[in-house]
Amino acid sequence: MTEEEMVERFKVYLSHQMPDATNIGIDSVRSIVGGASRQTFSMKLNITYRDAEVLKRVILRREFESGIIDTRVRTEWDAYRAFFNTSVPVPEPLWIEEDPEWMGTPFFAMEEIVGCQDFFRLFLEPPYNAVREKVGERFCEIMGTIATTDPAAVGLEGKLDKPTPDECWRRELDYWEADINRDELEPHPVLRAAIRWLRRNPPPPAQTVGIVHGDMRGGNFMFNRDGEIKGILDWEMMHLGDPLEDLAWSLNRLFSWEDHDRLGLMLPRGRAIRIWEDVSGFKADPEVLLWWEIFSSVKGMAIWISMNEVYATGKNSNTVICFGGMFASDLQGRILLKQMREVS
Amino acid sequence: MRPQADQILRTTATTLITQFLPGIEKDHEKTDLGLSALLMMVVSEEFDRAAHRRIEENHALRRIFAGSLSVIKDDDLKRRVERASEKTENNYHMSALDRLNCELQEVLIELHTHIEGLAGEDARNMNEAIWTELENWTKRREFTIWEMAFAMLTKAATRDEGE
Repeated sequence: MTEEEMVERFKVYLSHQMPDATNIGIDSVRSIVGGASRQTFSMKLNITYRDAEVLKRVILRREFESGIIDTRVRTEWDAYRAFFNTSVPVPEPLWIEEDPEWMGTPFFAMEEIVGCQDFFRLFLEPPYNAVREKVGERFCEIMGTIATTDPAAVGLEGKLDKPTPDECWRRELDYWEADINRDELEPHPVLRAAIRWLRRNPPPPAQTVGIVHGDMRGGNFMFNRDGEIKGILDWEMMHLGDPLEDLAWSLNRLFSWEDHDRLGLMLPRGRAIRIWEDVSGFKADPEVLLWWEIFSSVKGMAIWISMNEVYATGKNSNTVICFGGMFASDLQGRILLKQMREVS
Repeated sequence: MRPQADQILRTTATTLITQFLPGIEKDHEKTDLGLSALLMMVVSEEFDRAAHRRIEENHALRRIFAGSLSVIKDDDLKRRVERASEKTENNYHMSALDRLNCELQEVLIELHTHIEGLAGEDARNMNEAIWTELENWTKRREFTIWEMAFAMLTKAATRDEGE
């Protein structure tokens, strides 16, 4: 869908949602690149509603016709609803529409967080390198808080499947292996060896079955020059599972390529793990965490392979998808090889 | 063909980045063009090595297969590994080289799975030989362009920050 079509259709949708609005203007529309799972637009709404003028910057996220990851906007929406106005900062969710009649595919809109950045490589550059450890500490605190949040207390009870503690690892591995089996365009012998190793060496049952963000890493949160985190984003892979899954994913070396020992290029690995343990009250046993870190590489490969597949088969011709899939699968493949050489 | 394909791709990519990219206003168009240019460089890198890496790898895999025959305990797998060890390149089009390479890799995965389940020094040595080849497998697929890509993306984000 082109930007112009999207704007027109969204106007019609807003008129339907707000029949009392006498004017609905949309301008400063900007396509946000980089997302592999959603078409994302930033825009400014100028609405006259019951004689008052309302100005609001919003983000609209629309499912791709052929997404990389099989996720629904409803999952993200539920996450924003659950954590809005809690100690886990998220933008305010505004509207959700799952009927494809309006925009071709389901979508939702939320408040835009302004004055912040999300590109984690900025932690290598001034002025952000000066605050990266502060951001990292806060990131680990938030990750620990998510892990200990009672799903029922934030309205997520019954909305997410709940595995038993001993099912968590297998459910995730089965899911991502099936994804690889479906989308793989060529054999990946290192990846297959890793999957076999994960099955031969399963982790113990999860310490708790908690909320897992599913994509908790640099690039998926908004930070500012003061070192504050203003919003945790990209909740489309949220599920219930082993909290170590999020910690391990955040430690994925793909997101700290230039400095592997620093979580997300922010915080030294040891300190990051300690903060997460202190806040969550859970233990990150090195051997168990290693299992989840190798799993993270497998999950990463599954996603990058799916990106390559949708591009190669013409389902999604977005250049970002092609570039992202190629670079990430190369680097993640190198990371996975190193991990496997350490254990095999 | 002169100039060669990889050279044309590199030169065109450089022209896109240095001459055309700075004049583009819209973020997503700028990103699309920048990434397209980087992908041309990726293709340029792959162009020169595409046949070499497959043929080199096929040789290496056939050596592993031949060396594994005395270790394999499953007769059916042994037959398939033996057949794979005898397959040679008789068509040097990339599509044919790629098909053969993928076929041999599938056999490698089966062989590796089998070897992992065996005890004894011979199996351990074979497992190590496979892992050494998997190191080469990974190395053959590495691209060198990503550092430049990271730098470009960071520069773009820093520029946005200044605006």
